[in-house]
Amino acid sequence: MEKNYTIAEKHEIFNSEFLPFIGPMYNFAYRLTLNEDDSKDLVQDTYLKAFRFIGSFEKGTNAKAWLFRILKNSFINDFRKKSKEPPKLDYQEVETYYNSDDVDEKLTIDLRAETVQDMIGDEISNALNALDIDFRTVIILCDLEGFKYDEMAKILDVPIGTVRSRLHRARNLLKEKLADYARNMGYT
Amino acid sequence: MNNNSRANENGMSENGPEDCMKLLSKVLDNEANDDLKDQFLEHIKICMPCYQRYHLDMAIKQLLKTKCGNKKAPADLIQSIRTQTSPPPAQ
Repeated sequence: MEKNYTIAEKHEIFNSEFLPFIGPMYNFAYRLTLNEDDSKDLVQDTYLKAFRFIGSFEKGTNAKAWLFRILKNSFINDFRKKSKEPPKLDYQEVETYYNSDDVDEKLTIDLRAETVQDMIGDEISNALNALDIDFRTVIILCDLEGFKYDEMAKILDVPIGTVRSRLHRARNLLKEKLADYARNMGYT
Repeated sequence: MNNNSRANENGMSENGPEDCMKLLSKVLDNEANDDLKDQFLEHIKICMPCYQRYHLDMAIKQLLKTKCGNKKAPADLIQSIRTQTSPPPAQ
């Protein structure tokens, strides 16, 4: 239900509940666009939208999830249309392919926790950035921002089961990439 | 391993490795209640693949958090947002 906040209340909510998340919001935008100028545009658009539609936010509820949802939608609806990013992979195809058990089996052999802990360079960042956007997004939301599965489901507009399976596959893909780095660095 | 599944005497889910993976993710992501968490931590004492997988996943999760989660918002961005949302000056 739409709230009828006064001008003063709107600014109070914006300053005390929305602006404190500007760091995580910028980080999210940067991990999606991989470009600093684009991140600034995306975060600014998101905050201006949040201010314009502040009446649909209930004071004291989960502002971070609300803002992340707007940013994610802005990225998909406005931003990606403008950018020259190649068309999205067919998700089902990826899903079916990486659903095979072979991936899991190979990973347990190739990569160890100690190897990952020794990675001090940009390997993890590069591996994350190389993931398809849907997989990258769940890793950002869960591992970087600590959102719960039900919050992620709301941010992404998908069922919780999809969040779980996407996360599982994203982690396997990430491990494949890290295992490649490890092999190239001579760790294995 | 879902809420309805039981562990056998080895701590292994009766529904097999797929359920172990689900439980592992729940524990990793702080979605498991204390009982499920204890059940899993008991299980990995005797199951090497789950033990290794859990520690690998945890190491990656921690590395992601430290390496990819700290980009600071530029000051000019914050200023620009504040300017564009600030109330018009009082007459």
